[in-house]
Amino acid sequence: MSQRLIGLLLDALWETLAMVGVSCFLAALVGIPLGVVLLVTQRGHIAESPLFNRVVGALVNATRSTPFIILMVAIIPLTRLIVGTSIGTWAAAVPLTLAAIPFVARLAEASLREVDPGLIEAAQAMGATPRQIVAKVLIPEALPGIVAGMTITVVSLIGYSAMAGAVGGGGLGDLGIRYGYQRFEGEVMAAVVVVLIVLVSLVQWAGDRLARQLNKRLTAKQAAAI
Amino acid sequence: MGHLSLSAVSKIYDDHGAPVTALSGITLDIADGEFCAILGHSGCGKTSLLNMVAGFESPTSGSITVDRQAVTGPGWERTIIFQDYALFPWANIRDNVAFGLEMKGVPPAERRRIVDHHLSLVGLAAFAERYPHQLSGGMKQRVAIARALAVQPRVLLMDEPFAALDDQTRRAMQGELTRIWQQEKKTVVLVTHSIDEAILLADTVVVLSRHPGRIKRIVPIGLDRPRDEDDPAYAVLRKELRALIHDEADPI
Repeated sequence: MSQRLIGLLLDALWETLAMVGVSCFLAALVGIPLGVVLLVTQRGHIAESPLFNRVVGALVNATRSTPFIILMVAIIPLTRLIVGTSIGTWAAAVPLTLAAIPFVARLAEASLREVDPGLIEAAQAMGATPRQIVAKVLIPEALPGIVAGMTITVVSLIGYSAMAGAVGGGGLGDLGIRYGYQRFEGEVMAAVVVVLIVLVSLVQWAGDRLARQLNKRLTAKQAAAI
Repeated sequence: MGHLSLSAVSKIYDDHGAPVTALSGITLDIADGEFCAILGHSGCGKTSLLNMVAGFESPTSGSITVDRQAVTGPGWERTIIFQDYALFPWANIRDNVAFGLEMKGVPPAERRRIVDHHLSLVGLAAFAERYPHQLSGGMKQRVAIARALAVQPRVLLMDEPFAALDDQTRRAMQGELTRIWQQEKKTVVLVTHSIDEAILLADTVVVLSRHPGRIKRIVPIGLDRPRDEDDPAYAVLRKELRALIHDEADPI
């Protein structure tokens, strides 16, 4: 492999990691609490507020149903406002974050919904407030599921980030398109694909491992096998 | 402290527009320190009754009070024990028992003392650092009892607590519950469909009828503890309760 190709790959890999890392961190920061809100404000839940729930739910659905490539172009004014430019790696992180927030929220909500209602009732009977139930029951119980959801998010964002080339975001996908497709350098395309496969496999492996370690319901034997 | 009073409590559910009366005109006084069993077939509304006392549901009409304070929602003065234990799987036994105390804001040193006391009470002092999945069903239910008692509730509610256990474990747990109750002197409301469980454990047995659930009879159990199934007086009570319950069975 030529020195030039390695340099290109490393730069692109760094750009991808930066875009995906920043957007995943921000998406978790906003998306997980949003998932909690989506669940607990439902009718019959610990902080029910059906109207609020419907409004937030509609916003989440609207963002989720917008194709990423359209979302990216549509929010260019917002991107300019936040990072000062609409071109480059950091500019690409804005639509990525915005697309990931509702995705994370729905995945977190689904994990939180799986928590045994008996546990919530038991906590309520011991005097726990809704806030305490979220912090001490819902989140700890759903944590393995939330971690699994974040793993899915990271992998999806690595895919989405390939589209960020459209706003000059760079990254592995952009490299593959520009060199591999537009310049017919098949070697670059192949190298990009290999790097992406390794990257996604690593993320999935680490996510699975963490989720399993957090799952206290495993028997000692299963835990030892991790 | 722990006088539970239900006055003309009714519960009507809405079944797709059609009202269904689950419970009707339940008036009941349970004295401080009394062990009361609610006995009835499935569908007699006994779990609804317990859920209303716990504060998970509100009565359609009538009122429920504990020491003259109206029940308006769940709270630590009425803890509940479920058939499936409802232990927190990610927390070890000590942290499970400490949960309610933490919610109440009890300082850590005090919390530790109370948890140790209750773990000894249920015979699980050696298992404090284990996790729920490492324990047997009977042990899990002991943890649930310790957890429910640790917050010093006025009333302890139990919803078919031993129904998921095998026969031998169930008998052992009934003996344990009697011992713990005699030591702690709590007001207990236990929902069960088992006539033997009611006679073995309770001071009074409230028999519910079905459709709608009403109080059919309140039977005092005057036997000394621990109770002996071979006692002739026990057999008389069993016969009486069986006759009351039998009327309510569905034709097979």
